[in-house]
Amino acid sequence: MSLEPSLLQPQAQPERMVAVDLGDIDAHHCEPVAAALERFTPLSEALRPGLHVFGVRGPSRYFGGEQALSALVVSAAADAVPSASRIGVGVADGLFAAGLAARVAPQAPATSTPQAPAVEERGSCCTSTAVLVVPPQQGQHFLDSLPLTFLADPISPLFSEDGTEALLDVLWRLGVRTLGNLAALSEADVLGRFGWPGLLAHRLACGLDDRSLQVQPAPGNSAVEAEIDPPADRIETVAFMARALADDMVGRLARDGLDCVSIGIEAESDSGHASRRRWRHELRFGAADIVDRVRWQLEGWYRSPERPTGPVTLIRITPCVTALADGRQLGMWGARSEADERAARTLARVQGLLGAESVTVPRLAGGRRPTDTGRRMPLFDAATEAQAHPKRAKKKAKAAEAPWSGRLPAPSPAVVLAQPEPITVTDCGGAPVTVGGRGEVSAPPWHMTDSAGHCRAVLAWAGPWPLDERWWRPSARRRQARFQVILDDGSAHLCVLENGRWWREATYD
Amino acid sequence: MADPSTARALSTRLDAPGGTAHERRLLVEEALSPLLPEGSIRRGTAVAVGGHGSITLAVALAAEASRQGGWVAVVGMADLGVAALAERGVDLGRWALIDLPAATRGGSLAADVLGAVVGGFDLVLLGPSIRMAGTTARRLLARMREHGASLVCALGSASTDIVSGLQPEVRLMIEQARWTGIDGGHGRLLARKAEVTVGGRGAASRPRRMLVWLPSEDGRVVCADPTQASDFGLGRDFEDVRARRAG
Repeated sequence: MSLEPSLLQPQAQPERMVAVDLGDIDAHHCEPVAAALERFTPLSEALRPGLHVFGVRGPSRYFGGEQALSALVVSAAADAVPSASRIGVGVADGLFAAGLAARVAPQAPATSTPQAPAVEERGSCCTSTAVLVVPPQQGQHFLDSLPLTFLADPISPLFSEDGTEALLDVLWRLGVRTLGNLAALSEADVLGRFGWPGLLAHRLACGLDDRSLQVQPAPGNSAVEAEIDPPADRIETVAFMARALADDMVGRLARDGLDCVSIGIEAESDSGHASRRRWRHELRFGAADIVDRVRWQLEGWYRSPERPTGPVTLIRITPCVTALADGRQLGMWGARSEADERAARTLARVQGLLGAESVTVPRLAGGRRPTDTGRRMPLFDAATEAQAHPKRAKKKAKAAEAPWSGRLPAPSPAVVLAQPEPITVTDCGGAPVTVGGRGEVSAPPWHMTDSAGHCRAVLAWAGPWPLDERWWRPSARRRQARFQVILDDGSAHLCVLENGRWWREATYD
Repeated sequence: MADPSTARALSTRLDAPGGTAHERRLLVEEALSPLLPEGSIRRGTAVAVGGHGSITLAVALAAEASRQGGWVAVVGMADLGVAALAERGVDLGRWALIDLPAATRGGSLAADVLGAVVGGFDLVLLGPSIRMAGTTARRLLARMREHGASLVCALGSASTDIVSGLQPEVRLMIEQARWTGIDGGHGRLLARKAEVTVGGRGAASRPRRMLVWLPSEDGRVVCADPTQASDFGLGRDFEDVRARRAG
């Protein structure tokens, strides 16, 4: 039995790959490029129109080495899109370096780009027109002198993240001008100051892009498809149906804690034609991203020489995920030390034993009642929130700090019952204690009887503190009178009276 | 010259718990160090905490480990109050809460879960009513020693016997606790003073009595000056109320 290589070498060398960059081209030009690349490999993927990648290993052996392969790819791409303003092909370790190599590959003098002179200074890289091959292990050296702004390039996983612009802005003002400047900082410092996006940027700058082209189909039957009846003759109609499919698929994968990084989109027409293409996302697909790809693919298909003669009858989306159990989930708390990886792997194992919902992480939230102020957030939600919605996470943290009038001051109860326990509280005559409309107690609490029928004497009590939440919405309105009581065994509890019934909500253990 | 990224990775490792600095012990907050032999928790051992207030004290003992970058798992405390956790100053980002369905407690599934957890976490907080005895406990203890994980068992009102299989190195029994700030209809819970009997094995084998604020009025769990024992008023717990009720 062989172990998954990624388990043995968590920091394995990034895969070597080819990136093809045609600059900004129209969506319908994507199809001829993808068709041209099929000559080299069946596994090419498009990140967006004009940016295609594929693994170098098999093709380079067949076509006589990386340099020769790249030259062939350049001429194939030039034939496919004669109108392209530029063509660059880069070969390097990892998606980021390969993409940037393609981006800065020197152009023929007529279409020279501003970056070209900087590249020629790097003697160790093999260059010829439109091709830049970065030798193995030289990724960081290649990246060192590139400007920091490349972290917002479409090839970067930070491309579509909200905070990237702000992050680059701060780094710039701190004097970090190149990827090499960023790589020279200590990883711990960057993580401490900038959190997850900073750490990711740092790893990219160090040439440690661990995005792999080795994906596997999502487990189970995750492909989604829809027959389109009546057949659609407009792209917008198909895109509309794709939206529902994508929502469903992304939601299901999210519940399993999987990131969809690559998808296959198939469309069939009633004339019997079919279009199959693979798309990759620089980070992970959301539903809207998938719909964009469907639109791009169909636009290209309908303008290609193999265009279907009839309307579209079927759309199918097949998700691929990063190889499982390679620690991709580990980014969830933003750190990737050895101990963090071990803890995350352990939690994955525990979820396997007890079910995904058994593991939660504590989070503070805004609110007045003990069950509101502290929340237990499912592990996966916590991870995606921190990564995908840093703003939302920050907003929640702020809500927790905001003053909530009516919230009981510290100390907070150490035990908060998920389900309040029904109890009875009686006065010295044995009558239930009630609270009047003005918040006055009918009589001092004397005995408390728990749900099991055990009766204890009340030694001390305080309250009632009224709580009237959401009075503006009758259906959600909650009115409570809250009491702290100490029983004769020394235990202290938070009890509430709501609609004439007593509950034990929490215990000050 | 060595590869800079290797050097960086190495320095990160050395800074992390389990590196050189506190390789063999998990630090606790300085104010609580008088409760423990050498003022910290030895990795690979268990600490049992019993009595009313055991959860507060157990959380306080675990807080520093998470602040130092260690990972803390809470197993079998479905009702743990998150706001109280934050008040103990823990690093919430390094805590994971694992619910153990009541039916599995003491069963082999619970043992599997705990076995997995001590393999990946620095400190594990075990909730009340999880019995650890016999072979299961011995195996768990061996795994804890192997991975350098420590266990803090909050027992509540249960006796330390239920975790005797884990041979707790330290037993902290909260014998008497008294809340202040509350009376018949007045005030609110402010602070709690508790008397803790410290016992155990080895360095902790001679029982001692300590006074602990659980928490104090400024919200901290700290050992109190033993000379203030008389001010603590323990033993006079609501005497007047009891007398009035009796009468």
